[in-house]
Amino acid sequence: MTHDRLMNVPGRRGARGWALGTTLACMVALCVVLFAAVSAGISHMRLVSASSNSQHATNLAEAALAKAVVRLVESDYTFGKNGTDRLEISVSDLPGSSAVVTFDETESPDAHSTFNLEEDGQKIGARSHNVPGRSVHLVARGKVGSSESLMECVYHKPPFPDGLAASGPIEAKALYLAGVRRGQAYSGGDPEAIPPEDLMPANLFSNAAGPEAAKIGENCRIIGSAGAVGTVSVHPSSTIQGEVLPNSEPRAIPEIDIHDRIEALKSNAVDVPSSGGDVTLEPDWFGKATSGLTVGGNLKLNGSALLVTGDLRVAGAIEGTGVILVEGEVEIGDGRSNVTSSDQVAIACTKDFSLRATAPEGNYFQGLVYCEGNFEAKDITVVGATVVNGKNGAVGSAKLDNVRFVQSPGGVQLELSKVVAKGANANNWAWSFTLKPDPNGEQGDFLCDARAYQGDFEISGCDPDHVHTPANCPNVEKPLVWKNDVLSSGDNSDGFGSWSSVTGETHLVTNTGIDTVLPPPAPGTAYPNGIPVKMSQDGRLDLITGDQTTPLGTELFKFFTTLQERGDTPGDSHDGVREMLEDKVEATFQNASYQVTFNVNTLLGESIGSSRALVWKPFR
Amino acid sequence: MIPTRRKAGLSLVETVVAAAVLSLIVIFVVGMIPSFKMSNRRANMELQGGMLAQSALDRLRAAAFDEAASVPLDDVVIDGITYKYRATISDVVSHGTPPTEIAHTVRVEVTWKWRDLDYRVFRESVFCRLLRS
Repeated sequence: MTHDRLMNVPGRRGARGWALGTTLACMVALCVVLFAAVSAGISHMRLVSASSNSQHATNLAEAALAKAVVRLVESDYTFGKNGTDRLEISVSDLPGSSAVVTFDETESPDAHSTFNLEEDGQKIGARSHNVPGRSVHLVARGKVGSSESLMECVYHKPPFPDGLAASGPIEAKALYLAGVRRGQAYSGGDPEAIPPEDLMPANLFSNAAGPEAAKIGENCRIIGSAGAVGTVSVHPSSTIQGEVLPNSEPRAIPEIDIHDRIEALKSNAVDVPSSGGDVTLEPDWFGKATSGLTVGGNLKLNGSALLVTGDLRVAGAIEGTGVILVEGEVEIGDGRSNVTSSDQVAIACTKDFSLRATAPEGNYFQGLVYCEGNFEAKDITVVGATVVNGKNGAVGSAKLDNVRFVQSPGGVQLELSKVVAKGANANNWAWSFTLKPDPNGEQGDFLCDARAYQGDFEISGCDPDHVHTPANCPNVEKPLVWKNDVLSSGDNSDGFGSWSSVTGETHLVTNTGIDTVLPPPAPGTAYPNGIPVKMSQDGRLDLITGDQTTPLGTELFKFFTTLQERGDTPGDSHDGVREMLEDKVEATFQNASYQVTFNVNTLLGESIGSSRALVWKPFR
Repeated sequence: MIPTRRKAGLSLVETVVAAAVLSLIVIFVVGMIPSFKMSNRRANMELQGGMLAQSALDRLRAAAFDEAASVPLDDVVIDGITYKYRATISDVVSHGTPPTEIAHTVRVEVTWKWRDLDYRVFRESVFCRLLRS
């Protein structure tokens, strides 16, 4: 066989290049295997990462919901009322993580939260979800990396369910008990004439055990249920439209620490003396009576809080809106002649409470009562709710005779800011200011109420030669004391007689009686309720440069500069003023409890633990 | 006859080159295998640890609000690896008079040791005191 012939054998010819071809094929196969292995590895890692991020996003969204509920409770159920309210959180060691709860529909059209706590009817929320009445629909969007999770919660807070709840026995004669819907205010008159569609059940419940824990005597009519831990007896002439619930589980009775609240508030309170006639409190302020208070006529609350150590006895009626805290007994001798939707009273006392009038027709007590002694009402129409929580040896009984009781879910919406003030007295002037959250602003917006006084007066017990501090001047943080000092200083009294009229604005009150309002605000801004202030969280003020981002500092600086330029303020006090302003604002932020809010109905509703999450689940 | 001679020589060179390339690739791939295995194992452990942490967080959430701190979390052994739990409660928020705790931040960390290295995953959320119905 020649070489040529050998080379022309077809098999040999085909075998040429076999090694390269096979190698290439193996390479391709190996590359595929390699690629698959790498892809599988990367996919696995991605899967783990995605799973982790997804769980973090869900946890973060749930955390945001929990924080929103906390904000809701802390804000006295106003968080979300403002359509721009929002809350954002993140986890510090989880880069790129965030969760947002927003009530702003424009920020999150398909996942915004909806506030419907103040209405009975439902609202339409995000993604056309129905939001039931007395509820807030919270939607949280949690994000970690590219993972996103939406969670929702429907937080429901029903109004206080009982017209009358007592820890001790309840005895009623000729009692009419019914409830009315909110927004359809009962306007007085015969409560039995309330249209059926406006009526709601109102319950009566006693935590007393034993026989006749709840004794429903003759001629009672209860549009609701009557229950007790012990037995419930019902006179044959009486009607209970709901259920009779003897031998029930005890109810949680709300508890209010009256002493603590009085102590927290009284440092800024002005004294209220007893009077044979009517007594009118300072508007929107704090009043105190340290050894009881007797009012011969009517007590006009004027939007204030009244703190009484000792017994409170009012021969007439209690009028207006306000809160009364009493460490002692309360005796109210008459009712108001009408019911007005703007008037609401909340009274809490540590001993017995007695409420009576001459006849139930045309005599009304409108408000919420919390009593730690025994409660007695006679010949009056009560519009509100009553809780009797017997303490300190009192059983907490309730006795009602010829009472018409209309349970109204409307609470006392009263916001008073505890004054945090500093003063400086250089023989002729003093000042104070108060910060409180702006109800119409965003978080971090505050309203400032600044006041200045000048004249030849001294703050009681203070050294006139030094800028005052709480250490060397006990009254320095009690600006209302200054009013008394000013008034007692003789010829300056004319200029200081209108203390209440300057509330909410920045005024300069001079010793000649001239009331000079600060220069008008810049175009586009207004100070209807004080100076709106946008504060950074550290609360620093730049008073020297007049930084526009700190309008409080700018405005106050102008205010005090004006004083100085007029020659009304000693120059050496100027720096002291600036230092105190800075200290004050910082201290305000360090002490978060500077605001005091009363809403007894909320307190009652919350204390009995009726608030609940109706829904807590992924939002779809 | 020159082309034929060239083709025959080329086959040997091809074979040598191919063998070299193939060897390199095989060495590379074989060299990668332990790394793949390790990263795969590690990813598995991360997944396992994350699931354990999430499951523990859910158990704490399901417990009564005041009892979250006392829920027992025992070590778990999976594939020879011991996973240890650590639950911490921080940022407690109180409200009311007397102050009642209404919220706190709960963090569950799961740690394990593998090849003398410490690994850790965590899950964190905020719990609030709330009736759910």
